[in-house]
Amino acid sequence: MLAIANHAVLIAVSLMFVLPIIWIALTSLMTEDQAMTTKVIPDPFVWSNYVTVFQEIDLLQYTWNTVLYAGLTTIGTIVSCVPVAYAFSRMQWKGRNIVFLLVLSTLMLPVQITTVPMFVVWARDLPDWTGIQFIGTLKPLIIPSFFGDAFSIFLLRQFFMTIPDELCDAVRVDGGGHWQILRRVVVPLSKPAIMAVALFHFIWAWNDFYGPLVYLGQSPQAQTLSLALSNFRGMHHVQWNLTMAATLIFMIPVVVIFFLAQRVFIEGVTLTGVKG
Amino acid sequence: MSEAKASPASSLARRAPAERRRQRRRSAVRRYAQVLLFLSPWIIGFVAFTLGPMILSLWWSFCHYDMVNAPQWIGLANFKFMFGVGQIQGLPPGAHDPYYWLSVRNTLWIIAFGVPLRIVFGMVTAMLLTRPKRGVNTYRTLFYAPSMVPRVATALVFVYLLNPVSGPINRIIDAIPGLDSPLWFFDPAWAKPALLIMGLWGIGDAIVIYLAGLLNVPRDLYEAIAIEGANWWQRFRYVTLPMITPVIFFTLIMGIIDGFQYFDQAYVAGNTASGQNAVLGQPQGSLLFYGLWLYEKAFRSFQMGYASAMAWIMFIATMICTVVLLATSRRWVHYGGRLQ
Amino acid sequence: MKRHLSAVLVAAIAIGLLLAGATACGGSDSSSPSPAASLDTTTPVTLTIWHPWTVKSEKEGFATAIAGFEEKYPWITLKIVTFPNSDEFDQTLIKNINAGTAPDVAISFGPDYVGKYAADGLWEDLTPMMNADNFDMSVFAPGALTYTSYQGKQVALPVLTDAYGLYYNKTMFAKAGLTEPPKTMSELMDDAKKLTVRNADGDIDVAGFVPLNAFNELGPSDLAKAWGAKWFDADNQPQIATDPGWAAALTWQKELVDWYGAEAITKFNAAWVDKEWTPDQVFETGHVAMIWDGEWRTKMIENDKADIDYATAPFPAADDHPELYGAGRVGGTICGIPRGTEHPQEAWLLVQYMSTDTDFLVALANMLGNVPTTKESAASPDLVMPDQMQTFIDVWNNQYSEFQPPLQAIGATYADFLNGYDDKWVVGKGGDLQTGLEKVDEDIANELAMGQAP
Repeated sequence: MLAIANHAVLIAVSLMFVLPIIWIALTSLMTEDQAMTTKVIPDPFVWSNYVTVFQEIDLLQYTWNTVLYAGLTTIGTIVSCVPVAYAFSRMQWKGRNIVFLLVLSTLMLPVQITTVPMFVVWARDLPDWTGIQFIGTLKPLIIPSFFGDAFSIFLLRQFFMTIPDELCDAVRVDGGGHWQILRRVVVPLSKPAIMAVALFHFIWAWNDFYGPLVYLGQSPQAQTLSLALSNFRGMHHVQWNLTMAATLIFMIPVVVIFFLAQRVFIEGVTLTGVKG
Repeated sequence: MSEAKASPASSLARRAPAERRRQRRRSAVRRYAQVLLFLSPWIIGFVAFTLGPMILSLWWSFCHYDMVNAPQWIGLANFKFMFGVGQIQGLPPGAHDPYYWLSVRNTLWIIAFGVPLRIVFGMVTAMLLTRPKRGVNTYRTLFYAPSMVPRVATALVFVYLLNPVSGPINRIIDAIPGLDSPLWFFDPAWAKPALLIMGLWGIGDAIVIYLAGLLNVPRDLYEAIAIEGANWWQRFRYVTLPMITPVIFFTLIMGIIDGFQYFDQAYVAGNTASGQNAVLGQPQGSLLFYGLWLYEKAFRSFQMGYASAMAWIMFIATMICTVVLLATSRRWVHYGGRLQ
Repeated sequence: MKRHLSAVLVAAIAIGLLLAGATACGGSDSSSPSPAASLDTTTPVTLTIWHPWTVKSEKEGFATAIAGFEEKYPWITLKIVTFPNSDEFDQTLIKNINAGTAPDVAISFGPDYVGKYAADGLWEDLTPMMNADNFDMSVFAPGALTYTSYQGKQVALPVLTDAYGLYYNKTMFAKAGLTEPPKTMSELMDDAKKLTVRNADGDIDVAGFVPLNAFNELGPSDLAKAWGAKWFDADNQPQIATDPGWAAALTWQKELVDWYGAEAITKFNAAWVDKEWTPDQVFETGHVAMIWDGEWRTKMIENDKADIDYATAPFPAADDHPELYGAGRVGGTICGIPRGTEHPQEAWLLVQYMSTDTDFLVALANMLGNVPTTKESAASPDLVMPDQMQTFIDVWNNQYSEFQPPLQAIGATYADFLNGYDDKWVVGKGGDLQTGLEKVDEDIANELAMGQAP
């Protein structure tokens, strides 16, 4: 009985979440005339919109750029944030809380203001010093991700702090140092959290519009999918049907990744059950 | 050779304090060296990408800077204009930013209502998803899917859904006798609640975090309390809730930090609903948030100095909230079954 | 460094052109003059141009139209970059100008930032190059100067333009016994009342004319223009509270809103405002009898095959300002040369071409439905446009037509102080009108002062 009620609630909530997406899907199958009007069901169903989207934008190039951006920055985030979060949670040192506050403080200034000087550095100063071109490439977006980001550090810190001391002590007794503790205890036990951080970052980078706009706006071949959505915006009209179709295509890889990533959550459950 | 005959213990005893001090210093240095090593990615990134711009923006807040010409020092003039105090050179007495306090009020409103809503809904929905049962993977994906929709599409969806006349939601409300359908994005009293609804739709990431937190709770604690014959409320109150306080703490702080900077959703929704650049938070300023006003001042009015001043006031406010929360966290946040 | 093309360098080039190319063709025919003799026509040059036309049809249309330029000047190759977002176009352009990575030529959809481009020297002043080629602004209507030049610096040239006027539904007019469109504001109010149709439950089904700010393209400054009201006085101080046209316009506006009922008209606005760019638009579906809109609506009505019999006319003028009838808001796409370009002469050729070449303008106008800005392009037999477009060409050529809001070095956001007050005023939350307008003046003046260097 309880199970049925549970399912009923889940279905109801799912519907609330999914109905707007269904509306997006329906709009994507309309003609340009019908999109965004009061009509809800397309008449006729224009399945060829999806083909048109592939023809109007270079989907392969954009997707590749987006995969590079999201993939590399996610790797960079995990690789850099795990040790930093460890230092804030499992290492005892004076001033730990103050420095952690400093880490959090980097989130408290609006990013659009702090990136104003960075644009000039990437566009003029660094090319002057190194001779490498940065604007029009993904480099200004990817390189900083290998140096930690406060959101992920904070989240990982919270999870690392819940790991029981006994397990870490066990490694110490065996003669292991921090690096071994990190490798043998903390990381395996924090798989759900690390997976969550990776997932968030990937999806954030996948959807990121502002960063690519500023650094890639003038180089169509380097642009990401989020910018490609603007390709259906005319001077005095927007091709909403194509925009919605492109949006759905845009979302599919991420949904698939999320669906598959859930496995790691499950693994995390089994491992968590073992401890304590 | 009288010393050679002295016992090893006594000679050790004589050398002990100095040796111990040296050993302590060496291990302290080793410890800090290790800490530095683990922290190094963040430190390098901070110095290279963040510290300079932060200091620069602090300097700008005391300057007149229009994004093109070199910043010029004007002292406290930006802050005086913000708060409407004191006399600014070149302006009449009492000159002040007419929309500053409105933006502060709107932002505090969205934090006060949005953050608790997000925590409660995120937690409750995640709890629905922890029980292993058929199709739970699908449910989870469906719940998370809205968070993956790009912002422009989200805003469009809700402006359409909440259209006061043709939108499906109002048509349903109108069908129910006795209920009056609100004008949502066109009524100053209902615009922010409309944003809250839009925000609730996208709590997928909060759900994921709470899920990770819930899955992190050791099973044996549940087994222990089950032995004592506890019901579901007691299970929640004495096991689940304390064990996920680290996650609640996280979403609380991030919610406040993000809330102070809230802008993206309102910007896109305002633009879409009113069909024009949402500079003044139409309708009638109800959607004018601090982050939005800051953005307009920085990039559309080219008052980067004033915008930096606004940014740093926001920084101070956020910092105060965070410090207070961090300080009080020791009393209610449980890490690993022990208070931190 | 390539960061600054200083005034000295520009002057030197101009003098060089003058001395060496005294026989360069004058601008008497409005197609681009041949290059000055001193211009190197053998070394290949690549010009980078940014524009925000992202939709495939418009992108390709522009590329086809501009191909004529490369034919005419064979040593110049164009690198055309489509910028993905027109809202952020100028912001990003400014960032790039600061960093030295700007294009040679830029096309922007709106002139809001021309004041800043001129005041801060972000775009080149075209005057020396214009003088060298005997290029005269008289090839455009006088309204062009109001949005391409600021404080004596001509930093931009128009590339087609928008013009605004009155659209009215002839069927509804005939049914109500009206034969002529309103020419005065009093007539507009009377006609609006006559043409309004309400539902059984009191909601507005068809509105005669909706005077609300942001209803489609209307703004309070457009209404005030009917009275010839000006934003700023001779000292560049706001005069909204002192110029009587503003109070008159806002009073007129509130009178009509009160007649509808503030709640009813707000609900009507909410129902239609987000459909402006769809075939469900309020005028095209016959739910408003008269509307203020831009010239592109004629093309949209054609494309959407809207089932209405309509005509266009200039927007009415105030009863006591009949001389202003025929004028309207104008202004739109512009092009210019960001500072720091390495090829100013070639860039100038491109800017000249895009603003005056008849074939180019006609091709673009046919594609976009905008108003052709030169007399020759407007008279071209290749121009394909609905008859109703003629009104807008006339509005463009009217001597009193101008761009709103007036260019300022701080951009155009100051106008929102008035719009914000207007939103409150029409629903009765604006208090005393005179006090409210004085506050608007105060806020605008403070904004201007804060935007000025100390």
